[in-house]
Amino acid sequence: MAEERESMEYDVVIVGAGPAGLSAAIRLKQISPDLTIAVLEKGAEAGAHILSGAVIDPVALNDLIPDWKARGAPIETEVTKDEYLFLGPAGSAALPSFLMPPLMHNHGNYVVSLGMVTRWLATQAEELGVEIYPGFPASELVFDESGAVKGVVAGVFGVARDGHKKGDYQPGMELHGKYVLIAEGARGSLAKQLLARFDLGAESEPQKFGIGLKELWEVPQERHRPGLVQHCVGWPLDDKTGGGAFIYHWGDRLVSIGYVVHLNYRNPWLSPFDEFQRFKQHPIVRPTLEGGKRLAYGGRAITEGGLQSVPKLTFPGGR
Amino acid sequence: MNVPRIKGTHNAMRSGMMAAEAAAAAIAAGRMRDELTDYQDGYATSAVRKELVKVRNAKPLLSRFGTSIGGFLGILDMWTTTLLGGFSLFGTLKHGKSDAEATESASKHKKIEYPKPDGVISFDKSSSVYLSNTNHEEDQPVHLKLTDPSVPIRVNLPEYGEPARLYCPVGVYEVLYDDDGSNPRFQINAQNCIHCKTCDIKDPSQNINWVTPEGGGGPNYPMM
Ligand SMILES: Cc1cc2nc3c(=O)[nH]c(=O)nc-3n(C[C@H](O)[C@H](O)[C@H](O)COP(=O)(O)OP(=O)(O)OC[C@H]3O[C@@H](n4cnc5c(N)ncnc54)[C@H](O)[C@@H]3O)c2cc1C
Repeated sequence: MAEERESMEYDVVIVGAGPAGLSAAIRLKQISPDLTIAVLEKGAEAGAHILSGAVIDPVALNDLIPDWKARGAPIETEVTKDEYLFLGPAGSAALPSFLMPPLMHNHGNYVVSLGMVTRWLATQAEELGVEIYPGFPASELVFDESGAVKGVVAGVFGVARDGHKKGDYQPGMELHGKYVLIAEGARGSLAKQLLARFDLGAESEPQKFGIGLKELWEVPQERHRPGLVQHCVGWPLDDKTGGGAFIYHWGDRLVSIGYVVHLNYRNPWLSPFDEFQRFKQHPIVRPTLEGGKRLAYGGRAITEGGLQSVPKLTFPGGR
Repeated sequence: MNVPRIKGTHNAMRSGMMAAEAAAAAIAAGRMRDELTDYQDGYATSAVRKELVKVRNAKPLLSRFGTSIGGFLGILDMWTTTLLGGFSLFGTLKHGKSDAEATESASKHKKIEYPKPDGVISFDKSSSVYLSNTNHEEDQPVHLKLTDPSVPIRVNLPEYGEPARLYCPVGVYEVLYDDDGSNPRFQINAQNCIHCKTCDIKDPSQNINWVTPEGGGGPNYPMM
């Protein structure tokens, strides 16, 4: 099976140019500017596959790049109002915010496009000399004689649907590192293999997930309330099905609206997509979007297992 | 991910930084390809873990008691863990089953009739896929691999109504029939895939393995 491939040696190979992978790359260069670091990203550019809410807590960024404002980070809309709503089919009840424990408050947080923040993080990493390879999915793990992870295969190209090699076939490259950091986000395809091979989940509970669907809308000026952050639970999901919605107003007349359904739902007839579409018709939601335009749509799984499901984090050759 | 806050970004960044610190120190000490145990140990006392401790029961309470009661108990529990340094009356609740195992048989549930989209506020799947800008080279191996190709029609269709048709948010999976409604066939429209990974997680038979397609394939989100 093993195919002859060229290989390249790095100090650290990172799989995934998301917030985790890029933060690792930047931190490595801040500590030791001479380290050679490759970051592989399956999307056509860093940020192309990133989909998030997103209200972000700047605590980690303050630590990583304290002068992010001066460096032009696309983080501008501060949260001004935080609402928690319980929806019925026709009405809604707001939960008074003093009932919410302090950790649930969003003051001091920002509404952003995480995709844009990721693109910006990628430019910060590149300025420090990190090599980012967009369009290069890491498709296979490579192990050394002792069984430790030595690197990954990336950039295999030109295999036809039936498996034969087309004229423009490229075998890809092996990227070797002293350490390999896997930062694929929720349900990574290489992480899945590592979990199985090194039995990393042996002492934790099964990982739990949700599916998050999101649309970006441009809404009329009079409907736009920059910094308003709303979270809803209840209708259209029944009480036994976990999930809820977010509505974030930000930027220039933009509203990020999304729906999360916990994937432990029992009824196989449930369609997260249709629940989301139906949710937007609720009398408290529809007026915000009316007269507006849908600009983008997408979805991404979210890990929800929390503390109980955090697997073992390291394996020979990386994490 | 902090479930009640739906926030994961800052913790993803923190864990990236912690892994970097452990790797940089190991390389400086002349080590390579061993286990970064400093990282594992660092996690135990990290801000990431402290945060997850406080909200640890929010999700299991929802799973057990539903949105209204579970949500109420979750709020109470987060107050308790916040005020009492992580202590909870519930201890640490278990999640139990995996998401795939949680799926029940179709015969136990009513089919859900969803309203037709109005094309103004609500939309159908195909116009939505279009707005994800997703694209894959057509002539490449299907990157959604079935461990056993017969399972969707033989097992999933009779037992679960083949829920892939419904949980996939971009219509990758279809069951096609002849005109007279016979001869069901499973079709995978891999080019629509937006890499959300739901199929790999939720397939009740755990028969779908998501692997990376050719480079550059997948969505192209501008500001998501
Ligand atoms: C709908 C939704 C709403 C959310 N809302 C919020 C919010 O409001 N606030 C918040 O803080 N968090 C929120 N989150 C969670 C947050 O988005 C995640 O915690 C965060 O994106 C995790 O970052 P990551 O770098 O670990 O993974 P990701 O962001 O998933 O990035 C992983 C990257 O690795 C790439 N990749 C994966 N596998 C490979 C491979 N084999 N080879 C090459 N590249 C690969 C991917 O293309 C991607 O670019 C939300 C998530 C969703 C889905």
